[in-house]
Amino acid sequence: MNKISKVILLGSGALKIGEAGEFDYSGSQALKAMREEGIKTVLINPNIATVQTSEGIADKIYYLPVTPYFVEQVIKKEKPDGILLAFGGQTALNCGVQLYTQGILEKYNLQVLGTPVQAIMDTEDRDLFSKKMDEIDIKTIKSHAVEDIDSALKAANEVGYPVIIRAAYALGGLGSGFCDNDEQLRALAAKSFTFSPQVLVEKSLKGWKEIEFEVVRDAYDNCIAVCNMENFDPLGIHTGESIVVAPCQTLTNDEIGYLRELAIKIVRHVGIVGECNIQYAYSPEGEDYRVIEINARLSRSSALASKATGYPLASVAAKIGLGYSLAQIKNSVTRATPAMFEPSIDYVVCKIPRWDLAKFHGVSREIGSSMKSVGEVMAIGRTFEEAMQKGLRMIGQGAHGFVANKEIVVDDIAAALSAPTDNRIFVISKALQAGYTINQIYDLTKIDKWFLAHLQKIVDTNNSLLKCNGIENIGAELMLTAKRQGFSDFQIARVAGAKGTEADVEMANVRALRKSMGIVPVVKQIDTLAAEYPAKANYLYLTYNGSQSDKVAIAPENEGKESIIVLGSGAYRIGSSVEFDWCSVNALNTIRQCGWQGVMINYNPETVSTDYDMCDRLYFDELTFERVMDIIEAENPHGVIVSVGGQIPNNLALRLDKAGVNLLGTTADSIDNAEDRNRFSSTLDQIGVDQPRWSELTTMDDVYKFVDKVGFPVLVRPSYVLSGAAMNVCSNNTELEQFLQLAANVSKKHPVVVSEFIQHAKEIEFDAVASKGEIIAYAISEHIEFAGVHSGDATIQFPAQKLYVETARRLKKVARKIAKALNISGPFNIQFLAKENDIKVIECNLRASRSFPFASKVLKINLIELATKVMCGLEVSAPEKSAFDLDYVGIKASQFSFSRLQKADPVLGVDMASTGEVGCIGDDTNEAILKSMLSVGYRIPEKNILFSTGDAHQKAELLDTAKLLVKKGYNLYATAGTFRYFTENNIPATRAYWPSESSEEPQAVDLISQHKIDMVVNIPKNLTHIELTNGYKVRRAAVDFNVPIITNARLAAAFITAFCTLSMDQMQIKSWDEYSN
Amino acid sequence: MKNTNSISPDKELAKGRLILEDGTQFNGYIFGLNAPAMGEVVFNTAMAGYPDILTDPSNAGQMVCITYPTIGNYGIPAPEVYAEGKGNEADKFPVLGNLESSKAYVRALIVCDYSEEYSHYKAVSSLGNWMKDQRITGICGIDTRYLTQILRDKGSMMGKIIPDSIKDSNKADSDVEENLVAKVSCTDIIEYSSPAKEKSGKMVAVVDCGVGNKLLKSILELGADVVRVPWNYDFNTVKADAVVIAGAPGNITLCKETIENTKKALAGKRPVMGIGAGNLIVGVAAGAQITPLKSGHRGHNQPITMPGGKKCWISTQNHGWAIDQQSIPNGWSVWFTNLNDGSVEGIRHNVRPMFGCQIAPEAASDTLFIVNDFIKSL
Repeated sequence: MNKISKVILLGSGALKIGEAGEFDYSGSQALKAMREEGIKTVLINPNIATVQTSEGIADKIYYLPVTPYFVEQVIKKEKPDGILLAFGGQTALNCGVQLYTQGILEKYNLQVLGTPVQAIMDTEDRDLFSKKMDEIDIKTIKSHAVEDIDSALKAANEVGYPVIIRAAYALGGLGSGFCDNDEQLRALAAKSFTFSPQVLVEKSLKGWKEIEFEVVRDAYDNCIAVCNMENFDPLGIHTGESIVVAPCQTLTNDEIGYLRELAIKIVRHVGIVGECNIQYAYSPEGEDYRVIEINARLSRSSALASKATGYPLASVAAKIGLGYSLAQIKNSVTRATPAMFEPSIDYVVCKIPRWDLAKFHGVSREIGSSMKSVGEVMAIGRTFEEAMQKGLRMIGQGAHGFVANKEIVVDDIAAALSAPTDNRIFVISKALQAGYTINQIYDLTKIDKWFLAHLQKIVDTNNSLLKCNGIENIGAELMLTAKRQGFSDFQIARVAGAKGTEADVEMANVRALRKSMGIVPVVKQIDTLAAEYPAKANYLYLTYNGSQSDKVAIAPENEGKESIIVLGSGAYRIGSSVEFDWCSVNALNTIRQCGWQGVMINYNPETVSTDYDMCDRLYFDELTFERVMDIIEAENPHGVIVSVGGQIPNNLALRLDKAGVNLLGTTADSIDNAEDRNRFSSTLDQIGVDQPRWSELTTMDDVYKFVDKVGFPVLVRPSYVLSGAAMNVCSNNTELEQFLQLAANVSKKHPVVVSEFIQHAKEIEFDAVASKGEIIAYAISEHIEFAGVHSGDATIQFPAQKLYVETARRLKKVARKIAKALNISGPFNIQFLAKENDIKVIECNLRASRSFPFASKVLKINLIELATKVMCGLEVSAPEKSAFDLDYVGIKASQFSFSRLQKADPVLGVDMASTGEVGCIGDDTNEAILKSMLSVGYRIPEKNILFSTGDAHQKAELLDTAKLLVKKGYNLYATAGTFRYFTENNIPATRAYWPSESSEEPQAVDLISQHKIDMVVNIPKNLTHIELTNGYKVRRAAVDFNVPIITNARLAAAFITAFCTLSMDQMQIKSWDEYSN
Repeated sequence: MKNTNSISPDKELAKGRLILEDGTQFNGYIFGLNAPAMGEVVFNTAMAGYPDILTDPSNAGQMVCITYPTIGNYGIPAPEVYAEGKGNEADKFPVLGNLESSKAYVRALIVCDYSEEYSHYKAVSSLGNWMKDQRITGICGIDTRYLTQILRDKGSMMGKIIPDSIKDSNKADSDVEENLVAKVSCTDIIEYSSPAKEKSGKMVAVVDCGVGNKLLKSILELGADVVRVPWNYDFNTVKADAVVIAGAPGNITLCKETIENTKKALAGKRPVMGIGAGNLIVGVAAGAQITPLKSGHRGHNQPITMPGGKKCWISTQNHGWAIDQQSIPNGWSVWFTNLNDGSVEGIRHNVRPMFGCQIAPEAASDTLFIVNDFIKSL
């Protein structure tokens, strides 16, 4: 192996379903490992909100699309001698395979560090993989690779239904599913072929156990199996959709040994150098298995295994790539033993997925062989029950654990058990409480009886608590049992509390009562070796299954330093993801640099903030009031920061403050002042700041009266939602009534908030840091789309390019007033509407916002570092004024995952739907927009574009754009109204027909499915979602057949203008540090 | 679907306590046999395999604390089932297949969370019920991590488990040192014929200082026949192509006869392999000294390497003593060392085919080559 001096690492781009924050963790670890070895690093990743794309991790950062074209340009410029492909998920791997097959790696004499590309290809192509496994008598699922629908039918009939079909080379099960007959197969196969030229037909092994192994092999053939994991849900539910338990609970030592032996045999035969994930189907009635797939790269499972065991898989894999043997690499957690060992864990880990399906219109709630979850949590306990109940609270969807969830209603339990949805675990809870036996539930779900029996124990304890009828009647034994099974004080209060008591109030009494019984949690370390050797581990969790806390050593350099706790952001979800992890990590960095010990609380295994070297102590535990108080009591910190982890910590502010906790920065009262709609409104009135008119209403009559006053459209936010989205825009009475009847009951108990909705207004983000009410740094960015698209979905440019000077001046003035009024010390964000020079405040959050990393990196002023210093009470001087004047533009574009969400309407609205984002920098808006749109998966169309352009206003808006396309030689297709409009304006176009015009040809949907269209511009006419309309069918076809689609007129205009103005080779290949003033 | 194991409801467990030699007391609940128990308290970090730990003769006399918290999940399989070959060779072996031996040897089991509920197609009993039959006490609800830290820092020590129904608050006494090998060894010579398709025609004498079924099977699988002799039998008189000394629980210096016989064997030419504590016997017979390890190596995850090489292996170990490297006599060398603490895990003669390895090579495919290479070289 040649000496390597500079490597290039491919990142995974925007977060999407199936490829999320775990690759920020693995890429960051790999980059740090390279740096430790004195190797220069170049990173390509357009995901600007990640930690890996921050200062001090890679030497050069390119916010560019991870595609062969851009990667080659960067290679040409940077001349690295090695490349790392295993740390950026499927995106990096696919790009690596293309670079290899196109001869680019050879051309630039680039050495692939780690698993060779040929080995990767052997594992990715299922046919090759199956042959490879046959060579060593390893059983795979009998799989037929087919290239057309007829062959698929033939194969299915050969293996026999039910079958599962999957697209090769696809992310986390994209385009896959189960089929019971020819008809279902035909439909699904047609779709799968759009994702891949190769589709696999396999016998379904529904009901088998799903077991995973994480194996590491070095170049000297030393192998270890770092972790084994068992899916709670049997085969048939994607591992990303399943609750996963580590280590395996229901396999014997012989069985684990057998699968481990096979795993090692496989990685040796394939020739893995680094890390590999192996998934097995395992028969519950005997030693029969099939290998489902292997991933020759770091994966979601390896991130989980890494956090679950404390073994830094990504860092070790990176060093192995450099030629180190496992024996030469130190275990950086223990700092005492080598990496050549298999972790022994002395706790139980539960990973639970988090779905956000309610955010999407029309999506199916069923879970199955393709992934829909957007995030996950990892819970640690010393019983399965404890870990499970913790985890169910962590997913943050209102559950208090496995039981005591009054809100969840299941109509037909048996049906719900056999057709699993995102609610499955709660259906099991209801079933057990309704008296279903373990055998009955097993028959319907095939979930191993061991898991069910332990869930039954939780229900049994619940029943004992129910009998107490008053918390004073809970005996110490029962209290201990409940806490050991992971019951929260709230759950106990709710179940055991006397009639008429409020659990919110009683929980404090439960806490006092159990403390008087001496029932308190203990702090334990995650040390990779079950206490066999003393470890310097700072990875901690709390449990009631123990009598003594571990002695956590304080590093000598930390002697005498007080600690500051940062509350993290929890599970990734729509609206809160990697950007808050970046904020948390930067807050921790600043705290530690300024002489405190930084302490983190977070439970998301996909994050960097939960990495072993990011803080002085990490509590991998709940962000509930109860648990945060437990940790505060154990830590006795100088203070707590609640404003960098998004809404979860923000929501705890008031209660922590009431409990006497020292919150750093803006006061809890001010936070409440901004959060409470009524308080905030009167504050704005007092300081003379305008906001859209709104009212909280309890009867339909009041709603009508309010609408008469402000006029349609209005934004409607019910406080209690039965189904569908939480917010909607209604343009007329029919829509209003329909939405309110469908979605909510308007009543005294459940008021609805109705606001004036201003059309064709600009939306502006004001991200800033203030100290004692004075703004010291700010970033004003502007949405490309008009207001009405959620700020998390909007395309945002920074600095704002098209804002009147007068508007900007007014914005700053209003922001100063608000900062002063709320006496802000720390980060905050204000969203403004601007029309002409009129500005209104829509929202104000006294915490870091989603756009903080983007604004910080484009501005090159770390707003979180400033904010943290302010919150810690340090003197901070405001940056020079000229620092806010940039010669370049940053664009933040959103990543959508509609292709994963069958039937979801890909239209954007007031509720957020994107799963991730990128941020790219260019010399002007066109360049930045083109880079960012290419980064989120858009392609520059070759020749044919289909237009349906909404109402008159939007049609007019796209007129110039259409002309530009024609000038550039594009062929336009258009549906009825747009076609007419184009014709009237002398724009040549071909008419395409709506699904409702079924007798006419060509049909728009056919053009899309036959890939005759390269891009779809489909602007919905009104702001309401009505499913199964013409527009919906066309939009959905575009998603299902993987044709780029834009549903917003302003974004379409910006993108089209960009690619008509600039060609690929005109885009600058410039690293982050090359953009400066 | 044949999975019919009933899951018994949670039983009310009696309270009990564990008291260590140093006076530390842990309160918990008794499962298995509700009776007092006493023994040397050791910990084991294997995450699965409690039936193997219970029935491994080399755990005789010990109260084993399992660091993995939840134990009992897959019940106990039928003990009297003969081992079968894997894959096409569905041969029946003349040794039991589900467990290391047909009875439990440990004095007691110490766990955090005992699972009376079990689910496995092979299970015939819950762990607790089987322990009751085997007259083994269990205690659960124990902070096994804290207990492990005590044992790690202070070294293994005596302990006793007392049900709360019995009044006794004295510390655990030191055990009267007994020869545990004599208790676990067979008393008569047993011959096993290999069922393998290709018989090698070789005979291996296994000196039973506490040998488990897996090791016997691993030899038989290679086509060799086995003659198993009691620990104190002069195996030098047995007609065999090689000698394997396997075991042993407790203090091996009490196995005087085995050591004397081994000395004679080392003076000869016949290949010798000491496995597990058999390594210590070979070492002592060769003239080396042995020293106690502070907390012992007990688990499935011990890394070993050969000095000077880049190859390393994960091994299963269960021992509290090691050969003192300084004392290894001329003519012998270190074969394996532990990567974690550098201790000697195996020695070999420089010229003659005589070896010792202090791991359980048969426990995982990683290290099976040690048995395979030895037997195949005959």
